[in-house]
Amino acid sequence: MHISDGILPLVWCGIWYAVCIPFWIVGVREIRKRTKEDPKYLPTLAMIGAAVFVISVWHIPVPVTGSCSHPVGTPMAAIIVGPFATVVISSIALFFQAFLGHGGITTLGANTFSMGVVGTFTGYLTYILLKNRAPVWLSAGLAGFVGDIMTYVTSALELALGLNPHSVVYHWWLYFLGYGPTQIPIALAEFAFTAGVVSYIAENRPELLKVGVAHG
Amino acid sequence: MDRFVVYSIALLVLISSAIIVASYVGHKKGELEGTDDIVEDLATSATHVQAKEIVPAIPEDMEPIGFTIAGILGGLLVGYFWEDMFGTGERK
Repeated sequence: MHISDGILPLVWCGIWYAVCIPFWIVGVREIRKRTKEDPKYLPTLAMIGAAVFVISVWHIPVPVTGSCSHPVGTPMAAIIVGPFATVVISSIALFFQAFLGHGGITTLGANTFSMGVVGTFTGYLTYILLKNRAPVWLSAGLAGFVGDIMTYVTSALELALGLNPHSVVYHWWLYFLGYGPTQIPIALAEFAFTAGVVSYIAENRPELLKVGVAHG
Repeated sequence: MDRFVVYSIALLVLISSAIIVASYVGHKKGELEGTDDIVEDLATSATHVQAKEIVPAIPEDMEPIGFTIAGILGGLLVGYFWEDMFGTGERK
């Protein structure tokens, strides 16, 4: 989902930045508010930010397809620190990843929208919808799976809108087929670690999760 | 050490093992191309746009050093705040 500089037309780069601005504003306000309420929040946020950085740059080989890809980590982060704060930390992670050759600066808005906004909110909403109907591990795991897949669905859409405006649906599908076969096993891994981390925290340090759920 | 710390260390070992196994698989299978590059190549082949390097990326052989420094700084930061974040308050 890391779209490089030069791939998207500048107009679309601007549009994706503009779409992200409200999420950044709400996210920064949320972080300020929660930091005042709870001094533990900021170091927790920093640690989750570091986790998102590593998870979303860690390429896992999928020998069956002969390629590799990475999970996103934002659904897990959203459950723990809240969705708007996750948009902010994922933008920071994506900014630094640009210096590792993953993504870019002009495409930071597009990459933030796919991973930070869509991946975060689809995962978070999945968790919220399921948490009273299913065990925590299942709700969290499905949140991870859905957020992961939706991130790549969105990246494919961004490429199709920017590069193939006359045949968006066809190219959206085509680009997603490029991601999909490798991404589905990675999304299953994302299911496993999101389920494991969130259910363990829910069992042993539930107050950490309440931050993400009660204020989200 | 409480259960949470033990579990965290176990998780660290598990993740490190997974990274080592994944690296080994990658090494044995040769250089596996990332899906980001595959899809970008697909997207650019028909439209004649090219990826540009606007920010200077850290050379690939310097990445382990960069990750090590980041890991040390991150470890110091998390270690400093560990009791605040996860402590049960028994030692305070």
